[in-house]
Amino acid sequence: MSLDDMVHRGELERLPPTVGEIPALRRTICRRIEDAANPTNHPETRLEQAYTAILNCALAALRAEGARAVRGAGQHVHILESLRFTVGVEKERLAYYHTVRSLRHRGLYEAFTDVSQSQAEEAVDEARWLQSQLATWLTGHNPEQTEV
Amino acid sequence: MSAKGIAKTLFPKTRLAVLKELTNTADEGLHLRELERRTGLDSRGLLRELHAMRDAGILAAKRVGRQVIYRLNGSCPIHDELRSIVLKTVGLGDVLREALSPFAERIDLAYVYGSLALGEASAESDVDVMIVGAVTLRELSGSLREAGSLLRREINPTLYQPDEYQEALNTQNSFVCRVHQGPRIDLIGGTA
Repeated sequence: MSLDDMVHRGELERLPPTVGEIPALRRTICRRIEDAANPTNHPETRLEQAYTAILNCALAALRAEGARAVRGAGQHVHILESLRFTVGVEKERLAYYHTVRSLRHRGLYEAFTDVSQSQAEEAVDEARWLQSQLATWLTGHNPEQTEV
Repeated sequence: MSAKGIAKTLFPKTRLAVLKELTNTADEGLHLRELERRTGLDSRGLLRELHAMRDAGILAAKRVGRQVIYRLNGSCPIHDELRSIVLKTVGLGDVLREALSPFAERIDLAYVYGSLALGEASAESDVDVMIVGAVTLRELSGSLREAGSLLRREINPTLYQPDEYQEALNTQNSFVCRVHQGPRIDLIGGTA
């Protein structure tokens, strides 16, 4: 599997990034992580912000590769899955991202949910880890996109 | 004896396999070929069990086109008890226990709560799992996703560290308090 395979399957489409798009996304990631790390926020909010930061990291890498997810059902899934072929995130970690995606989805559409502080903190740590992986990957891969 | 061992002592192999699959699919039910595919058992033996349980009122059968769909009969006087035994032993309880087993030493308590424990689940219902222990969600996610694929249901884990859980238990009317005291299917700790 590769990004091209995902394009052929209709999950992604090719589109070069616009000027300043990746730095803008990286600034968004910083703000999301800042909000997610704020202990005065409710754990549910912290988890949601951490998830969005993870999704934005995946999106920034995808955009740097000149691709984006096709809009519609499964859009978040495809953006997260593309991390295997961009930053090189392993399967175990992707499974975790998908778990957080489900929890966030549940929090949005169903009231019957609960997020512990430790769950929120783990999500923040994971978002920070991916942010740093993205920075390293961009430096080696697309040096012109390293500015934040 | 393990929960699975109890079920194997109670029910013959084919009957147990049928009950397990029909419990997991809830109201949706299954036809013979799908049961054959899922259990890997011979269709003649399966049909014998399906007819016996249908005649006893344990299963309901409905013809849809050329197929007969079998499901647990909600009107059977022991439907709730039977469903509960299967769920706790070989149904979702067994699949989830297996998924959590590599981390069991670090898990103090794990149980299913929500619609499945309440007996109100539909075929689409998620599995709500509470896990209390010194583990991370990242460690558990791979195993839980595999369990979700086997059960054909989304698994929603809630993870608490032991001291955090205790604190939440001491908070009156907290979410943890409610689900801890409510109906649950114990997987690790509790009565499991």
